[in-house]
Amino acid sequence: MLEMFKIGFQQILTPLCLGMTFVGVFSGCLFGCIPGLSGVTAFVILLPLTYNMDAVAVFAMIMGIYVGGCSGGMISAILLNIPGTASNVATAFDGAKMARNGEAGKALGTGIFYSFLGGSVSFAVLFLIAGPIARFALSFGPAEYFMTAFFSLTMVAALSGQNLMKGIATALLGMLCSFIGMSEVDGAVRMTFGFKSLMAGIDLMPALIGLYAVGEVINASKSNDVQMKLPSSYKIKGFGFSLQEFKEQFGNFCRSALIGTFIGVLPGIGGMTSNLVSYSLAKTMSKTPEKFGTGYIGGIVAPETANNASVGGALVPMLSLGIPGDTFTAMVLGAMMLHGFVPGPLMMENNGDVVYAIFASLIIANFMTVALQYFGMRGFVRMLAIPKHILMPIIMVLSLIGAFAINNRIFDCWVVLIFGALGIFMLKYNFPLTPIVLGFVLGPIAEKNLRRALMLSRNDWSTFVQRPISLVMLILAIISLLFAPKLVGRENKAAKKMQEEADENDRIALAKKANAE
Amino acid sequence: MKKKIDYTELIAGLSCVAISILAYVSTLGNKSFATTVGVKSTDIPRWCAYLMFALGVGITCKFIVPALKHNPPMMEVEDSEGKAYTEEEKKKKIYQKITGPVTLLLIAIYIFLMKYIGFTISSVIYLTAQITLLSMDTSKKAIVKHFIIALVSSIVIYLLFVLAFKMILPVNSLGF
Repeated sequence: MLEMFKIGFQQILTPLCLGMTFVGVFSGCLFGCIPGLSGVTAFVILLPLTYNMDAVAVFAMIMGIYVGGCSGGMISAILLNIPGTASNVATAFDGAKMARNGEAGKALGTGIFYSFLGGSVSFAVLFLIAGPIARFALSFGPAEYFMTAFFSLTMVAALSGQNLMKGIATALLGMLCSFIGMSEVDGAVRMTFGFKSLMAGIDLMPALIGLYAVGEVINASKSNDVQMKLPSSYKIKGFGFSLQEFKEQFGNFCRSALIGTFIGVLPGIGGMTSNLVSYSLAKTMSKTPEKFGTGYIGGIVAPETANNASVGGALVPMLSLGIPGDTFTAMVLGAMMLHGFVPGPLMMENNGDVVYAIFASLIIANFMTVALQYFGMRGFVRMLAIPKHILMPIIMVLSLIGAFAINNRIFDCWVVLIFGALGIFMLKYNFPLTPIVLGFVLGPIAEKNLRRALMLSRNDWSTFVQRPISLVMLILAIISLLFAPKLVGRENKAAKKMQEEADENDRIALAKKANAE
Repeated sequence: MKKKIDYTELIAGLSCVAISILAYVSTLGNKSFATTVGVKSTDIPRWCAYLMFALGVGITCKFIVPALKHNPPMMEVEDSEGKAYTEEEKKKKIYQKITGPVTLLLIAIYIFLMKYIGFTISSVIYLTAQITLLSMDTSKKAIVKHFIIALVSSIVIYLLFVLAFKMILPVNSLGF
């Protein structure tokens, strides 16, 4: 493994790759900290630059976006009390209070440091288990693969919304869209209504660009521009916290890192769930739960560790099995296929050098994120002031270029428009967006392997329960459908309660301040 | 707070039903080259369509069942009767309502034009229109400002992508 890391670093430590990692980290942080945008947007905009580029440099940039995008959101959560992305919701509970108490620098320093640590722990887990899982998965036949994809689909459908029926319906819609065109096993053309352009199917990237970019442009235009009420000073001294505080938070950190990594591995949920879960656990298990929500450092350590830890976790199934668990890893999968790789357990075997280059770039991106946020904080804060009515249309133009350039055809731009309208419709009627993406990616994997498994078993469906791994996956899928929605419901209620409590504390603090004056 | 009937689930359910029927119809007449073994290439899309139809009916029932008991789902809406809105607020409300559909329309026109007048010119037109729409400022001065922003950013994007990254973008007969 060390030998492989050496090869990985050799590939990454070139001016081009380091430069691309920097571009990724910078744009990830930037889009993460602008509320309403996220790493996914940064990916969409930078995508067209990558088509003619060396694959390793592209993945270095993507990993930079992933790591940077996860940390950037805390800047606006702390300084403006508006979480930059859904992964930083819990950070705002205590971070914004600290900023109001004149401890903005301390809050930012803590967030930066623990984001780094959380990321590092999860990357270590990723490096250790991705290889063994991939080797184990080499023994998977089509039946096992089908059940793994099926389990991921049920998890995603069950976890990513309040409503199980809508979750499943959305995943099915994604699958149906992915079936358009020639089928993978026998090349039969289907569901095209006779349109020639649809014969090759719908590409993942234009669909994703439509679902995310178009909706964002329209939603952003409905919200007002960010009111810039910055704390007077947000200068970071050292890392902001003392050795004593570090010791105190060590247990909290370890727990949050593990929760974050584990939640990241599960399909369908990631940073946006793990930051809330670890915050509420940190509060329940703390000796001083009353401090949470008043500007307590533990309330930043928990969510910021956990959301970055989810990055490494989410890459485990992606790199070892070729099965993405969230929107961003689905895009990574798309980028890999664009560059001619076949994501899956064989990738470790056949393209081990590239996989280890990805590992190496994660480490470098993590360091770069710390440095960039530490020294470039003022710049990011200034970027928050860009008026959205100018920024959003330019993002739209860049997204359309990205879609066009995949195949150099206008048809893909129309796909963006149609999926954009679909995304807006879905958000309006409370459908979750993640299942459609995962359905789109996992649908063909599930179908291909189902058909192969049945050909191998001569149409004997019992093959799925006779093989132990496939049986375990089936049981897991059933369990996830039965129990996950209840769990999600409880978690959402808890998050709502925490938000209300934080608001209540806010009111009390403001009233006190007014009285004192 | 005033309340009115919340049709979200009804519309969501019916659209699922509509999509499932569309998907089923689209598989009719498709030939499968499958061997005699296993499932055919049209089977799985059809199963998805059946399941989606059932889910659509289920979601629709969430609206219909309580509605039949004279207790349809309600949502709170802002009480606008008692309030006096300023001109500014009225204008903003109208803009927020039309932004979504008009943006989609603008993007459609943009994509359509791209094919005939090339990327750069159509981008300038689109950006000017879109920025003006989002900024809600239709004064002459503002539109000139938006036009300049659109022009500069389109040229920068063109130079960056075509000259620096050697990408192919749609062009007009003059080549830009």
